[in-house]
Amino acid sequence: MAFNLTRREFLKDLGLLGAGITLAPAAVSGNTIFDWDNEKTPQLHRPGWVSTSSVPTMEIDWDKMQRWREWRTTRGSFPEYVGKERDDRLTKLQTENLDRWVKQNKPGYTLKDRALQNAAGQGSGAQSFLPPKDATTPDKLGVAPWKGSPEDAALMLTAAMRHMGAGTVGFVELDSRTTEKLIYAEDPDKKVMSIEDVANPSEDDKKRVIPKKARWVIVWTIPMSQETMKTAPTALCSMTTGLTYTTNRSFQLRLQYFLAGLGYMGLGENSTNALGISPALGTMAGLGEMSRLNRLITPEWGPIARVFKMVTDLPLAPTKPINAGIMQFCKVCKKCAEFCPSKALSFDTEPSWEPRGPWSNPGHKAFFEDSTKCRAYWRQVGTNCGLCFTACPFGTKNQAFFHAFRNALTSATPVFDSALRAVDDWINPGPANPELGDPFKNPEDWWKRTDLPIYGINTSSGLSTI
Amino acid sequence: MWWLVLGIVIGALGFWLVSWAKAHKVAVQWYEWLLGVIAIGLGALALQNYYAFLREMEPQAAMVMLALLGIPALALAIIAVGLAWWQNTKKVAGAPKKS
Repeated sequence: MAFNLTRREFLKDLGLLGAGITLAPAAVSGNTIFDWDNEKTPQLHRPGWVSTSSVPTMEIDWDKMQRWREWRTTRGSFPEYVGKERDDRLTKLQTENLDRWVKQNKPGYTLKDRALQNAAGQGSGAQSFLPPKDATTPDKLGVAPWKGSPEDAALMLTAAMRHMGAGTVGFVELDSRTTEKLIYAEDPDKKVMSIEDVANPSEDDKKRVIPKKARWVIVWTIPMSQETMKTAPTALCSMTTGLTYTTNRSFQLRLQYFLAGLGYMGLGENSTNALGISPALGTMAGLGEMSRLNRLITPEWGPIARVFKMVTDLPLAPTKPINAGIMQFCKVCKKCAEFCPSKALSFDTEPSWEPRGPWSNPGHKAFFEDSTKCRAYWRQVGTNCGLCFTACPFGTKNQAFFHAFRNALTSATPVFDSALRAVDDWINPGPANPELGDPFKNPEDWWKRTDLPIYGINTSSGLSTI
Repeated sequence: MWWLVLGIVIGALGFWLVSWAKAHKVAVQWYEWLLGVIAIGLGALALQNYYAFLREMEPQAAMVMLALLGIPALALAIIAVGLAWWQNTKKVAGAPKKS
């Protein structure tokens, strides 16, 4: 049977085809303006493949979970876990390696790499738990504090925070039976984090006091440079982590000033990783999902972002946890564990309720890592490594159509997860010998790139690409 | 913008192709049109992924995607054109000779 179209029919079909090709990226990227999600949950623009849920994809036993002492992690107790002798040996090895590599001009550890790493850590604002005392408050202006609904407040804060440098923003309401347990019992400096029925926050030599009326946690991400992360585990890669922390110290101070200017308190991290458990709060705020890394993977930047938080008494509409198929994908993928030089990450197919050591808090079903192996490798290479972040298939720049296709498929069904992992091996094969600490990309090539975006970050990632 | 330009180019080429086929009385079966449309779709995806991965500074990924999508696109296009050509040639060859 011949299928001869009339000119009118053909032009009509042709128009549809042209329109289809023209509009295809919009359909796949599926960005929404605001996802109010039936419960007045204000969200920043999130990709269409991200759905919200009342519970996170990581199971939590709130009865078993207790407030955690931050200094029990390997950040604070590494010598106790590995013994003083090994700790001393690793410190000596780190010094010797860094000294030798800078003299050998080892790519990623050369003088210029070390100089940039050092420079990126400078120039940050003061970091404090307590709000600034010199802010121009409504009292000083002779006006009442800002008033509005929790939804209005959440929207206002999100807009302000995006402009000051946050990637994504979410909010968690504290509940003494559940989410309040994500605020540390003790900070990294071993000061007790006490939640008391008082009007104002305070701090002395032994404790920091959070007023009971401060019931909301603002959680945000600051993305890192994906291209720079490709040079992990070198000093050059470590620079982008340092830059993010430096950026956040200034960011936190600005946010505290903003809240004080509105007439509310902003209680910040007194030091890096203080105040509360970042990945857990990020999960509850819907900024991402927990993963095989035992860290947060975001829909927008994969794991290539840092998570920060602040407690406030400004009532905020909480954002909901998300399900984008990330945790499910992690069960199949295991690429991060394969590329971990110290084999610290779990190879189990299912997450577990049992931590692998006293450095992790129980009460959640996770892919717990052997944190001492990870931390020992950091000492060997003299950086914070980052190879697992770099290996993650979600840590992509998301300009190619394939990423949107993969994300949509991952979110819809786990059936194709192993096939998608196989494709990722073709497009992001990684070094032949990751156990030797070889980076995904040559750090010397990084120095020839003058076309990276500002801060190495595509700040429009996760937003409309049309 | 890139997609708009590509849509206009594909539309113009398609219009020319149909006009040419009608002018030369070339009959094209429905499945040949279908194969052609799929080939164009895959080809457009191959180009998008190729250039986007280059922008992402991932040349290997760009080549993989060009091969994964571009080769099937090319194969389908060849099959569609080949089928149409073969059937029309057969018809001409089998036509009764003028006395």
